[in-house]
Amino acid sequence: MAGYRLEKGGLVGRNETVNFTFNGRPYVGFKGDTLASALVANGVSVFGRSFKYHRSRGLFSRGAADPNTLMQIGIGAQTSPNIPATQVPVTDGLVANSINAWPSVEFDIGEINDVFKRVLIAGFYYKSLMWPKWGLFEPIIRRAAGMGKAPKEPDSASYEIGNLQCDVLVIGAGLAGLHAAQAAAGAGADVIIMESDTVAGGTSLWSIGANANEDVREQVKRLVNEVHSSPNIRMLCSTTVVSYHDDNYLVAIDRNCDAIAVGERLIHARAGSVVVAQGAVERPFIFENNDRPGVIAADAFSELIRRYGVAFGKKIVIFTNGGRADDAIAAAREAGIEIVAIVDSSDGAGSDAGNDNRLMGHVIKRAMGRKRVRGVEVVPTDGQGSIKLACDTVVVAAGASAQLQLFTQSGGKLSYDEDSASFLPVSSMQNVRVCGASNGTNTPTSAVSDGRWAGLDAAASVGFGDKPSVPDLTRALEKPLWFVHQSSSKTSFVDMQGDVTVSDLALALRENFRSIEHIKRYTTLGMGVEQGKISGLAAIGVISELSGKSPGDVGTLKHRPPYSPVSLGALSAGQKGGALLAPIKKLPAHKWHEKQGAVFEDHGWMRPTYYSMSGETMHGAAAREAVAVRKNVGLFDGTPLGKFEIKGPDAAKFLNYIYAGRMDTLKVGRIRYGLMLNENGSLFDDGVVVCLSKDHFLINASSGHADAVYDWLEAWHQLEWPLDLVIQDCTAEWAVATVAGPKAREVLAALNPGFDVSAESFPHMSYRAGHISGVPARVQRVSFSGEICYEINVSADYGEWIMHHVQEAGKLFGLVPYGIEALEILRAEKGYIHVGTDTDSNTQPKDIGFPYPSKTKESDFIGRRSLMRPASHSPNRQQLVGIATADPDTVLEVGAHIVTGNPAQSIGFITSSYMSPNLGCSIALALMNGGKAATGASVDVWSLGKTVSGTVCDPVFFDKERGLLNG
Amino acid sequence: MLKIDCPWCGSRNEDEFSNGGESHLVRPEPPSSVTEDEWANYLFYPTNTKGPFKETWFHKYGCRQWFNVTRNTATHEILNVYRIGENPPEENS
Amino acid sequence: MERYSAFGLVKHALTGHKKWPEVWRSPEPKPEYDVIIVGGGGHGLATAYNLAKNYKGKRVAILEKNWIGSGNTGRNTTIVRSDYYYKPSAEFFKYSLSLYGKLSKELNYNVMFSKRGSLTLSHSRDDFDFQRRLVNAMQLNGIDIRHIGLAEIKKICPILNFSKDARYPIYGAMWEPGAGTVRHDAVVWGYARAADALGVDIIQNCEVTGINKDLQTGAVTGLETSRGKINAKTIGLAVAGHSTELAAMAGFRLPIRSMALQAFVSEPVKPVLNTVISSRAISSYASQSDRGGLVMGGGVDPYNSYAQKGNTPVLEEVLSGLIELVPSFSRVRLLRQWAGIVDYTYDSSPIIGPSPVPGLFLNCGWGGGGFKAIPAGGEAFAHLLATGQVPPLVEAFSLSRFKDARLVDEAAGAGIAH
Repeated sequence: MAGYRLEKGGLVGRNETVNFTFNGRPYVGFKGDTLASALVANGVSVFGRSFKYHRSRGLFSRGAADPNTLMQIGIGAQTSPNIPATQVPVTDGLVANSINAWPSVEFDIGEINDVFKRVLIAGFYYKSLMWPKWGLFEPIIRRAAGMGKAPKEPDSASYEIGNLQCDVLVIGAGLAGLHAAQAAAGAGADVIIMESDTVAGGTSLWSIGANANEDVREQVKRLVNEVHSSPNIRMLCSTTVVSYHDDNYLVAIDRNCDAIAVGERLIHARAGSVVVAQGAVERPFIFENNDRPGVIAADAFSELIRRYGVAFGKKIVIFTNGGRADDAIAAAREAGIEIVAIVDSSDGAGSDAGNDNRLMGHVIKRAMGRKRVRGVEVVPTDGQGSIKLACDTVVVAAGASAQLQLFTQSGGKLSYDEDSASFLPVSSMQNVRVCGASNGTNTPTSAVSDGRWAGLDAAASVGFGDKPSVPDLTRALEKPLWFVHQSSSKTSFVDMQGDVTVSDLALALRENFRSIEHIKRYTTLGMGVEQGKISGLAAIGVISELSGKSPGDVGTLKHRPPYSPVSLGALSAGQKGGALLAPIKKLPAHKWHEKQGAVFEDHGWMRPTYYSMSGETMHGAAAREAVAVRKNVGLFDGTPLGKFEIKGPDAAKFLNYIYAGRMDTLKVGRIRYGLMLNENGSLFDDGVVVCLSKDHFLINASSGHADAVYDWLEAWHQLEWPLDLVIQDCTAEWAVATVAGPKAREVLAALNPGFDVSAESFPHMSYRAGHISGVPARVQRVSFSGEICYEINVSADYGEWIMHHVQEAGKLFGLVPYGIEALEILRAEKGYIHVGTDTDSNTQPKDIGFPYPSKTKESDFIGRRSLMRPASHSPNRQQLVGIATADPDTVLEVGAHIVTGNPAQSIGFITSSYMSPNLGCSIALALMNGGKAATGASVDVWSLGKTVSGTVCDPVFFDKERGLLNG
Repeated sequence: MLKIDCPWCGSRNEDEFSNGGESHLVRPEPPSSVTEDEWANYLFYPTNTKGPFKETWFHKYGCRQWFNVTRNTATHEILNVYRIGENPPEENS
Repeated sequence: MERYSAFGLVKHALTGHKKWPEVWRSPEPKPEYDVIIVGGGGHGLATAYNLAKNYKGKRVAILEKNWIGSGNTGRNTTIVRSDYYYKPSAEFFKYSLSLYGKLSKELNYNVMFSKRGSLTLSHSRDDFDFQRRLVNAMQLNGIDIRHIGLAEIKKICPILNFSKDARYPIYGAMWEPGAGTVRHDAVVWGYARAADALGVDIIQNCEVTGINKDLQTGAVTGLETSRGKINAKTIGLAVAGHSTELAAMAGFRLPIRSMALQAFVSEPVKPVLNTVISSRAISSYASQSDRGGLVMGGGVDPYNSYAQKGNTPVLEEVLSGLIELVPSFSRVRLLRQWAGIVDYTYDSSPIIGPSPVPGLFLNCGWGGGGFKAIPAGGEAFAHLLATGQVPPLVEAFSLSRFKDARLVDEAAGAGIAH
């Protein structure tokens, strides 16, 4: 039991206790504790087990950077794996469990790996586990890998999204960041500060500065009050900026929620300019067994005392490199913790620590103890001798790792600065600058001037105030000790989370993995949840020493978003899910369809596939409907049809470009079927063109392609042929009641549309406008069923009314509503195609029986040139045919292939297939190589191993003479 | 998230737009006069510049107008925006 | 080349691992080679290996601008499958998948080929019908792929969203049991080690800055590089998204468009997803790596890019799509996001064959599907570079197909990535 709660001190609410459990045991903490601080206060040393070797691990660092304290938080549907205990505020009822340990974190079977670590070296799986095959070993490796457990149930939390804009975004509310915000706001800019921690203050929450006279904490408190009262600064705490995208667009996660009902809040922020003030974290000292519970970074140690009122241990040894550990030493003294020794690897020049009996020029060679440090072995940096010291804590202050991930994500470049032994920003690609500890400053005074400069610079860059001059900054001179050479390299951990040691890095170099990216991938350095926050610079230093290259030449590991992990649920908050994933479109007459017993399917719009009368199956209902249409008359909802008006003197000329056929000869009141091709000559869409007047056309596009056709028309008009016309999409303006069948004319007459509906006056492929009960109506006589057919267009506001009204008028004639499935049967009986179903990206007009370009059209159209290519005339092209089955009751499967030869080779495939109730046999359409010439031939149709015999025939099965249409 | 300055609507996020590939594409005129090679070039061989690239964008969920953008494809930095039929700003001097 | 084995591991453990040999040399470039391959990714390295193994006596070098595998081979989502529609594609990818099955043995390097199958979901009757066309074509071309319904899907991947209230309820799927995943870095390193052992000079940090041609014949004579001039009469370009740049150096254009394809990995979790899943309606796919992270991807960012980064619209669309497919993934966290530069042709099929410049050969246009093609692509490209002849396996993928409009439109087979 090493750690304990101090009697006083810290910022926690000592009057407000909180009950939580860890690994099934109950604990008590204070409001304001993190899970980590509360567990340490309760004397817990072992928080978890490491990834590969399952070594006991305890608290090392703080915030997002801690590699060892990943926990499974919560249970059931609300469990989250791999959350660092340093980032979990304790709440009543919190349930936390260690991960990657079995049966318990105290006694973990996996520790056997530690015994075998000589064999389980970096990349061992590349060199082994091949024989007899990897598949045998994979399940074992997979079970051993992975950290926490993914929930098994769907998430019950919801996620929100917010969009923010500002002139200046400051990332980090430490001393530098707060000054930057204040300065920018003072220049008149609108500022947002985002701070990852629950409160502002950054380092000042535990550090009182090298000069103890400067009470940094008081300064920060004053600053925070000023920020709160400033009208143009918004400060968001518990908000972590996670990624930096193009044009100063940043994504942040706001955790100011209970994590139960609302999981996290996604924030999209567009900033005019950005200030990065993310600070730095203490990186590890690398020596033998530097990963043991009880070894802790100086910043985390001081934070425990000053922020949480917790002592990490009772007898501490401090391992520092020069003056870095001064805060920790002061904090330990304040808390009355016994400092057994201060081991200082530096030679003393440049540090003012001469008065505390430290062991200069010495290093810790190794830590002893397994579940908790019980002592250290100290040796001189040069020379012989060894001292053993008993202690339960080693506080390490090796040097800082500036947090520059967001800066590099923005495209910013770093360069290695020898003096401060750190990578510093040198050039930005976007409007961003760095200040404070992440810019290498190491005193409060420099942080302040750097912060003020950054704020003024950011504000000036977007038009507020003048550009400030760059301040002179002090940075500590560092002579880093990248790793203790006297230590055994195989237990000197560089990346604690990935169990990557100095010997692993040495092995990689020995095998000639030279690039740091190769070394990373080979050893898995920096690939854990910690993503190199503290292991990155540490590793670069080690590699630099091992290889003899300067750290600048070694380079940095490429940082990738997100800065710290973000739940997939939060990232999806903007997209929403379920019904909001893609809006469901309902027909204006949806309720009417429901009343008829419609069974809907999503065809882009929710449309009736069939109408079920007393428990009919789809096949039964569709057959009944299709028969009814050909016998009497049917009513179909054709509203989703694409509808576009083209109006202007050049309208006809434009349509001549768009369609393969001639549209300029279309007379007023007449309708023509048209094919739209893409420039490659393939079918893009089909539909009819209606001439309303010589400079006013209405074109129809298939309902599935309406959006694409609208964009297509706009693009060609604006980019290629800016002719004198306008294009108006009226797809959703008009509802369409389609009346089809031999009695369709009688129904139309009963509606009294105000024009002559006789066959002579209103022939097939013509258009009339009128009124039905006072409602303006446009009526197109076109047919997809091969029967007499009128498409009655009225304003969508009357969509439900028109269906009802037509149904009433049609009762006398046996009118029956019919759905998509029946329509498909009818049109297939007539050999009418669906572009995209009966055609694919290769299909050209001649393949489906339209020999464009026709001799009567000499003018150019989209795709014309492509139709002239030799490939377009090949007799072996896939052409539209009909297939009749030898057994009329056998219905071919859509997607079956027409085959020939042995072994069977595909020469075509079935595109549409139905049992035709009107013909009493199966019908099918197909695309087949050289199909037209093969009419009459027997074919084998193959699907998933079964073969059916058929004959190639005319795709028009019903009413081949097309007599019915003109009735 | 690219910030695109639509000449009519102002600064909007990229998800309001769709991209049309290279701009200043010259459609062979009349198409019947070009060889197979020239036609294939027009259809299948896009300009694929690494660096400042002139391309068209369509404000699909806004004013539905097309316009030209010069954007550096290596960094995504947008250099300028100009209307269809105009020359890029650096050429007007 | 020292053989790798478990026994070898133990042996080396006894000497403190101090005697492991280099995986490959770092040679200085020679002034001349018989064949130079530009591009040290999977395709380039596989080609070099095949050249050295099957066409002995040729001096071969690979020039890589950065470190080998730093391009798309190090950035993909590691899926290997062969569910392509047209015969030339089916034959090619089927062959490539079979080579992957034997690759660890061939290279004596564990590429961790995990035969865990690939499930492509359909979400409506029409979708399912369309898949039947694909499945039948594939079966006729000898690919082991099945057309399955809900009951079987549930057995294969029980964590999928089978709710009837889903926006796009699962209707059926294509199931290729022989497909799976392969560790991408291992493919790079395995081929490199084996090629190096056979004498190939792998030259990293060597950027090609110019392609030299004979003034009379126009044939290629060598390269200008950041490490000096290197001559060769046969040069193969395998540089994916940068193919346009290299082609420009030699004075010709290519029918490709370079775009950013994003990929994502989650924090490592215990095994939860045991197959590869993708969806036709929802533009997302995923598998789980052996380290435990969910490896995810979707479509390209829809504009030209060489930046190797993608933006939030596609990121959020892909990840939210994944949660539609597996709602329990909502609390799993994204760990890392990156992108590659993928080069797409009009028909989503690759280009392997001669370029307009004599002696200069092309291997590009793989779009988002190049990783699964590496073993067969390497073999075919090696044959081409060694003999000047296009092997039948890749005849359909010539550059000339565009002029003749003999496209091999694999937009459906290339999957969601385009």
